[in-house]
Amino acid sequence: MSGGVRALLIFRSNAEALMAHAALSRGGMTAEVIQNPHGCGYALRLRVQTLESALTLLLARGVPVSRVELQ
Amino acid sequence: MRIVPPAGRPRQRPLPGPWRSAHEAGEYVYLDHAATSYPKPPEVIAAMVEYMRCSGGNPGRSGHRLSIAAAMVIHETREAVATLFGAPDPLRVVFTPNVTYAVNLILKGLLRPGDRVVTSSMEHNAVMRPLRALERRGVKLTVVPCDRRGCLDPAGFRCALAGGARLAVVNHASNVTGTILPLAELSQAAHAAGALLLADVAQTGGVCPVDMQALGVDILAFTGHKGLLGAPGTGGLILGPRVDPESIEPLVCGGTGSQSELEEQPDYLPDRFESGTANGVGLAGLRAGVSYVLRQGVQNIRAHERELTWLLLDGLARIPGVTVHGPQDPDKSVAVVSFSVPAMPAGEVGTQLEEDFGLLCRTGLHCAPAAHKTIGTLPGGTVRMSLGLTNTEADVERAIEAVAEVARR
Repeated sequence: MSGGVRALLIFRSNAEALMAHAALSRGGMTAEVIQNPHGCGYALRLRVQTLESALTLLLARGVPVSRVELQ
Repeated sequence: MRIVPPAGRPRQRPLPGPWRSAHEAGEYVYLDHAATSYPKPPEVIAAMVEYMRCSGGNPGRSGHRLSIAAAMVIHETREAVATLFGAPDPLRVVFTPNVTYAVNLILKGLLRPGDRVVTSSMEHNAVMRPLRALERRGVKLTVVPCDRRGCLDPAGFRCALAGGARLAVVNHASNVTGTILPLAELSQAAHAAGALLLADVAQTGGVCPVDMQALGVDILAFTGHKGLLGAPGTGGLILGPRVDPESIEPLVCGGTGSQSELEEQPDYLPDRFESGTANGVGLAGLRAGVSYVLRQGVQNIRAHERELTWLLLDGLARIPGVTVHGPQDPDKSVAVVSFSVPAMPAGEVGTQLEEDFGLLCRTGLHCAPAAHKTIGTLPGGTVRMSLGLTNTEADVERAIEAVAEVARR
């Protein structure tokens, strides 16, 4: 996932981050599990073009996202 | 006594075959699956080795690739367990070192002095010991008697709950007699009384269909190393939607890899109850074990074990001097059969079965004195043979012939 603006999804827990990753993968979307830049554990990184549909999907699946940042 | 075969009993055999060879070289027959399943499928062992070789990071702590690889294995295990037990939200699957820990977590975390808890007289000490300890601290305990087959009358359970209760806790199947309790009816009774139902599925997980939503189970406690075919050191809980995690005090607090800036324990799942580094290697094996069970189909495993149980019950019932305990009906039990040879202590029978016939089973009280008191086998206990996925009709025939020989001595 190189080039362009990327979105970072921050979660309360690593389990939620991994749950979100699995949900996005099943929905045909690409997201990377990366080190959480704000602390220990994980965050998700994805193309900003897919952010809206990713958040819609996660909302539908009941996976809470704590914060979204743009990189 | 002749045991009536189940009507239309299926012949479908999910047996794996090749990996039985480890214990079927003829030297022994393993009949102790209620204690732990053995042997494990090769993919379980391979998954554990693979985890140790390739996923060596600490799951959920560091953020590097090996940590992420380890955490993904654990998340996949969470999803597999949720699928097996019909749980809609994998985040409400909490891993613990075993089912005893899981049961203790709920009983000690939920119940307060003055609360009332209702249970059956067929429970394992994983339930009875923490309940007796809580009783000394002011929790009111009601034990509903089962009959000598280990069966629980839902009407009696409903009566016991009539005064209201915080929690009802029962096993799904007895580890002594195999008797299956009617969880759906018991959960209805619990809910009518305003209580949550905690079900211990140590003896049914992976070998009987268990859908916690359909059964109305609020909290499900499972072990990973029996019917789920994983390694010892794995187990857990699934909390249903009626359970507020914040109403349960954690048994252990500590690092979770989340909100590390806080000195307070997280209030969300699974972190609230999963402090400390997870047993990643064990959970990797559990993922493979549950996947194996899902591929075979729980209904097929159940059909296989039901048929072998019928053969064993039928054979034992024909041996003079042998008393079989429990429902003696494979439709009302899992593949756990307890029997006595009245002229001989259970331990002596077990020793002769191993030394002279290579049969590995368990004797005594099976950590369930309440159940033995219920079926009338306290203090001597019983000989327990418990069948599993890898057993065959030949194993059962060998067991029946051996018991007949020992009973003749």
